[in-house]
Amino acid sequence: MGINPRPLCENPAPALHTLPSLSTLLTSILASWLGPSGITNVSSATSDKRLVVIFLRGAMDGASLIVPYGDDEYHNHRRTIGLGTPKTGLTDLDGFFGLHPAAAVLKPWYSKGQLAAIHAIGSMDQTRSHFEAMATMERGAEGQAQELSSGWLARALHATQTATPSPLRAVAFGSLLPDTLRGAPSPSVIRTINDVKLGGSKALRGIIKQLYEAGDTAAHASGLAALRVLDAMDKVNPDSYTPAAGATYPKSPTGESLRQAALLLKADVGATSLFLDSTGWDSHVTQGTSTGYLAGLFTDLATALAAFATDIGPMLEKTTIVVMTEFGRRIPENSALGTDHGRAGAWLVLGNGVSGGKVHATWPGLKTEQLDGPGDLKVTLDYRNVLLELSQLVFGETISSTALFPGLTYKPSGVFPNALT
Amino acid sequence: MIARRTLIAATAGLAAGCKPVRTSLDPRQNYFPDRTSNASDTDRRRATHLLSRAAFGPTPALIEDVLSQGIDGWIDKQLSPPTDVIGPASYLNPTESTGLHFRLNSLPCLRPGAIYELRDVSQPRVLSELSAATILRSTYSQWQLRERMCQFWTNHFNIYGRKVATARGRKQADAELLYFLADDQRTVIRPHALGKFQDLIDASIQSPAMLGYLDNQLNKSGNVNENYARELLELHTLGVDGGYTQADVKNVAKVLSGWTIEDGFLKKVGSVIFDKGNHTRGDKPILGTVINEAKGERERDKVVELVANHPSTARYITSKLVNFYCGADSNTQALKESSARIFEQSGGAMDKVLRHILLADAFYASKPKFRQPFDYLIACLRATNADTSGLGNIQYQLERMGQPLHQWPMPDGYPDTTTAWVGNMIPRWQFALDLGSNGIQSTVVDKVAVKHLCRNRFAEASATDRLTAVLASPEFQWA
Repeated sequence: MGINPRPLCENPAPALHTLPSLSTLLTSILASWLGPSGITNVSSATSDKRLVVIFLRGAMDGASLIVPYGDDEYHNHRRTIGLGTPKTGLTDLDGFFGLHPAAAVLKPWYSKGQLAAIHAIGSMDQTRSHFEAMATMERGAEGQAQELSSGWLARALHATQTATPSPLRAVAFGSLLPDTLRGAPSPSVIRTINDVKLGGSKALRGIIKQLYEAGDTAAHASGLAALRVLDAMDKVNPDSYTPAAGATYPKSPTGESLRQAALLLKADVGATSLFLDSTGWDSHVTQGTSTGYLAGLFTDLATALAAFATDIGPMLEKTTIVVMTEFGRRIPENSALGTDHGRAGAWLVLGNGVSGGKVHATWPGLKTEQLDGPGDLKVTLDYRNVLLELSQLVFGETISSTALFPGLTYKPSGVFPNALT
Repeated sequence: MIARRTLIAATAGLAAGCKPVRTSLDPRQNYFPDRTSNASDTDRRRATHLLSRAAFGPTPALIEDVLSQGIDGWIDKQLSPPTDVIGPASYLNPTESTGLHFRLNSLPCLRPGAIYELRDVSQPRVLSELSAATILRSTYSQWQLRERMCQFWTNHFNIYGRKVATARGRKQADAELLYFLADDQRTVIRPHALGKFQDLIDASIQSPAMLGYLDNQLNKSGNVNENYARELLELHTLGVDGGYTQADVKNVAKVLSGWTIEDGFLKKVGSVIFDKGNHTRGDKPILGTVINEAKGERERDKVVELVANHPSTARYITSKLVNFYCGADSNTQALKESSARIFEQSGGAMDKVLRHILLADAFYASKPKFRQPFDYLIACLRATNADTSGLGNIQYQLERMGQPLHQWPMPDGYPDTTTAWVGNMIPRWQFALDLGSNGIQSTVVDKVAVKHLCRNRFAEASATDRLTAVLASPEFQWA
């Protein structure tokens, strides 16, 4: 490592005192430019409804979570990885569908009418590609070909934007903005709630406040909103947070995100729409039965959801949770004792507005001639109908269906009977 | 270690009333000028404005540099940088400081070579090294305008590095496009950043990264995939209002059918090849010109020529470029029109277009532009004369602010508007605090520069708070 042996003081000292400080220069230039931007109204009036979207990435096997045990063909297609019937351990839901035993912890919410399953739901995307199907579903498109650049939730948030909303109005847990929120007004992407904190001294916070109060550009307005959130978040400590009613979250990414989501909702910092990812659902190989790979994922998801519902308690009446996935998996098992990419799948909805205690499905049947393409469950419910009802329920009926889901011919799904469409 | 030595030297220099001493492996340039000119405030402002937009942020020395050369002199010099060199040759024929070459050469993923050799390296490492290279070059390169244009074109020809591209002949894809990205930067973006637009399109259309990103390996006769064709017209050349039709898209897709990425056993994996059997034969009318070549592979060149020289392309590219340098909120309609004319007259010579924009009154009169997270981060590093490896936590900071490199999934690139970015202030402040307290691993600020930067501001506050407040201030969010 060669070091330049230049002696000290080879060059004359720079005349520091004659140079304007860079920051002073920038500030003065800016001051001469920045005019009033018209951002004055600071209000926090928003709907009291909350939305939590959980996206299961990799295509969750709907036929294993909500098992159509009443269809004889199911048992023929899944000779090795089938889950049997309620007699052999399934949690019965309605005499036709059963819940995977690893998800049985959710049954109480089903019985109380707060949880519903939706089956044979999907998009018109035919590619069976995760990337395309996710892009389709997150944008709220009919299929791959429909050109939409923003996410469905982003459009809903846009349509109901107030002048200065909370910076935490839309929060995605993760490191990248999901397409669902792409184009949303200032979505926050946080890995953990600790990202919504600012370290440093009290004095520093005071200086920043002074700086952001002294102007009216978009940055000033946003900074002041951020300071309000920081003040609120000071009272919240994710590390010492105790969930209510003895709720116990699994120690997993999904459990941790939902724990923090509950904390955020309870902290009342203006968080309206929360988005979470769950990964690992692409079960091509040895997916297992009542135990094994998928069972582990179901246990994690179900215990996390149960803990969340317990934890937020009465807030569940104002909060709707939707668990979605880009498509379902092939009905016949493959030679590696897993399942390949399919078409329709199963979703869960929990909380406010849900017509619960039901499996909502127009069942297409599992006979070979009833299946789609190489052996996939037919889509009998366009997922956009459910998301439209959900959006109107959460954000109000002022949202137009054509703006949210262009090209959709709406058909009531029955999942949210009180949604005004 | 380098950083520490520099810091000690810098402190010693300050104490002795003299300029900080740099080791030859320090990539930073002189922060302070040797002499200060008596330039007028107006000239100083114009120089600062130019360096905020055409560079990644001003430094006192660079402002003096512009003042002494004159704005047009500085721009002209920036428009003819030496050819970019990587590897051992860069020490014999240095095009940047030895320190910058040293750091770039320590990133193996940047070395020219067979694309698929990178497959021995883990995917996170490839991404990390590519991002480090961009951070290092943007912070330290002498050829700031070229780096700005590399940023512009990388975003214009956005490629989502984490996409798993299904190669032809394989059922299950196993590698992300990241492996092709280094090649895309080296052969598409960097050599043509200031050149002719047609050469850029021509290079991009031969890039395995772009082909894989836009699914052209799935584009076959009888089963035409329009993805690349559509984005080529909509995003890369004519623009969505450029006057093309769905039939044009279909026919461009037919022209591109058969172009794929080699993935055969013992073949040159990763190279772009023409698979004649999958090419669509016959007449393909595109934008009023019928394309039909006996040698199907030649059709691609015809399309490149056609779209690169279309009047809509001149308008679309120059309009986007004017917004990039002047901000979308400024009144620049006349500048956009005159720039489009220069684009057309010069056959898409980007240096001529850039010279026109950067000397225009409308550019100097343009309103402040909100800094995207990347621009904010680099401006902070430059203003504090920071010494960074570009690796590790500094990349996490970008991610937390919402702009990790090469990770925008959609082909339109990161948005270039205030509203897209203004809502996420907290991670910026946290970054300012982390940098201000030297809490970022392998990134250290220069105390002398910081002292200068914070002069006359927040005198009562602690040193950390002073620097953090300057960087976190609303003013610093704008360029």
